Amino acid sequence: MSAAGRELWARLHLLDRPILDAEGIPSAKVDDLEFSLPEEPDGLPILTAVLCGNAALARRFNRRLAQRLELLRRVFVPVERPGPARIDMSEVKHIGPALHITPRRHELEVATLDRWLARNVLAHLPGSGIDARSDDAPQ
Amino acid sequence: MKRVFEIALGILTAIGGFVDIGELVAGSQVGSRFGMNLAWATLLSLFGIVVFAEIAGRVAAVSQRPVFDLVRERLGPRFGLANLLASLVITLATVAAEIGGVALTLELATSINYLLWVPVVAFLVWVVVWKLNFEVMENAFGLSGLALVVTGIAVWQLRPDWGNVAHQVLHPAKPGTESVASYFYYAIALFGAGLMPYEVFFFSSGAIEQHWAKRDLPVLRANVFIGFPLGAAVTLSLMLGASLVLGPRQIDVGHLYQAALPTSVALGKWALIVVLLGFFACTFGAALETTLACGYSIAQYFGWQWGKFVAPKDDARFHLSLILTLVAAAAVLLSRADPVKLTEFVIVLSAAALPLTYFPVLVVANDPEYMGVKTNTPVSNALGVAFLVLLLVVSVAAVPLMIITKAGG
Repeated sequence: MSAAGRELWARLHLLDRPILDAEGIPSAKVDDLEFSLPEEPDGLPILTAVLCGNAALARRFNRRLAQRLELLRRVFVPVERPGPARIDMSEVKHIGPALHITPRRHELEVATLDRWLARNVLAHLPGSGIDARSDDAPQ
Repeated sequence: MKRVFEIALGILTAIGGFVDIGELVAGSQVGSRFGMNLAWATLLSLFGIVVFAEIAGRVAAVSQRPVFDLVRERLGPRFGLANLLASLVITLATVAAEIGGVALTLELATSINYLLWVPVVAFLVWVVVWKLNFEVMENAFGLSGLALVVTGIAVWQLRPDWGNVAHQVLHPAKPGTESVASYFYYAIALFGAGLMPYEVFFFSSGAIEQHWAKRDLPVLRANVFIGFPLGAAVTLSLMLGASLVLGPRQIDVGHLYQAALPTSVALGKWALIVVLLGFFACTFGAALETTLACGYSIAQYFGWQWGKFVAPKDDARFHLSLILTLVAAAAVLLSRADPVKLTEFVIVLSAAALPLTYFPVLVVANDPEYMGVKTNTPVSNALGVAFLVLLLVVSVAAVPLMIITKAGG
């Protein structure tokens, strides 16, 4: 863990905490955690990423529901890698009451649905300030 | 000087913020049926909102965390979701009731059926949250809500027997014609009207958005300790007016215009115009706040960006949830749900659902990880826990009383 020697309880200090982007803007929640198994036989699992988005949250409720949501999400937004959106622990710069991360919110995988809705729904309303033809993330 | 202005503006808008469709309907109904014998319920709800808003505002200002963020974090995603859904149903019905109140006020002013006004009002609310400077609009509506002070002048003109009024307030008794169940049912209705969940979401979210910090706590306390009591005074004058004018004539309030009757009887046509302006301002202001409160609670649960200054391009999901809220509220009204009846249900259910949001806020207010040295003092904890017990009693009693009295009978 980045905070050397600090003990964190996944349930108490990580899960369900808000994630703030490089500018301090709320971007997602810690909906689930990704651990990898250690190489040495009696080592502890290593926290590799936080998972976010409805598909990650739904996994904590019901696995089948999560799979359906994930399929539905992929109908709208093409993703290279199946599974819930993840933020690698190398991008987390501070863990406090909120998690501060280094990327900006528009660069996150979890923001893909938001971008899709902006381009395909809200862009058609007058005065939205969104350019429907632009492929870039709205700035 | 700027500070004085800020405090004054906060107090004035808190008056309009306290009074909305719930107080207009419940205050007048109760005044007509029970005189001032239920004034204690409004005073109790005033005590409640002062305790709750002070704690929630302080938690927001110090920890920079809004209510639904904390609800999920402290209670877990499942209970948080159940809590979110319950609050959303109630707040959505409140949006419908407030829009209905605006539409009924416009019907009184124009004689055009309120159902035709519903889509227009819903659209105007959307335009404000979509594009206009919300802060300016909110303050404009808050200040116009001051027009309701005319109800106090009207009561003074009606020359009540103040000794009798004081007796009813201090030694409340159930009128012989009413059952015990309906007496307490209306007590809960008044209590819920003063304490709708959206008020606290909105208050604490606003504190975070305006970047209130510890140094702003005096402004917050002035809003809460001066603005809300003045709002309660407006509610009490609606109640007293109704008890003097409607009660003796056996008029049972079922329409919004009846809430304006005592003022127009006492002061004539100009006062009717002023009081309708007040109704319009406080219900439209509340329609804006409840709509945003729906969006805020969803966004805070899922971790999206939220707020008055979030442009559509910043968070599409938040803006889409506001649009869906307004469409649903308009659909409820267009299915011919009576706005006055809807208000009665909403305020009683609000009372029943209060512990859901109050409890997590009270817990966090005592957690030094969020609050540093600004955790609850023993006094605010004693008040907070006393209020929690009261809320639990009200919450358990609300729905059975609604069934026994057939919603007030």
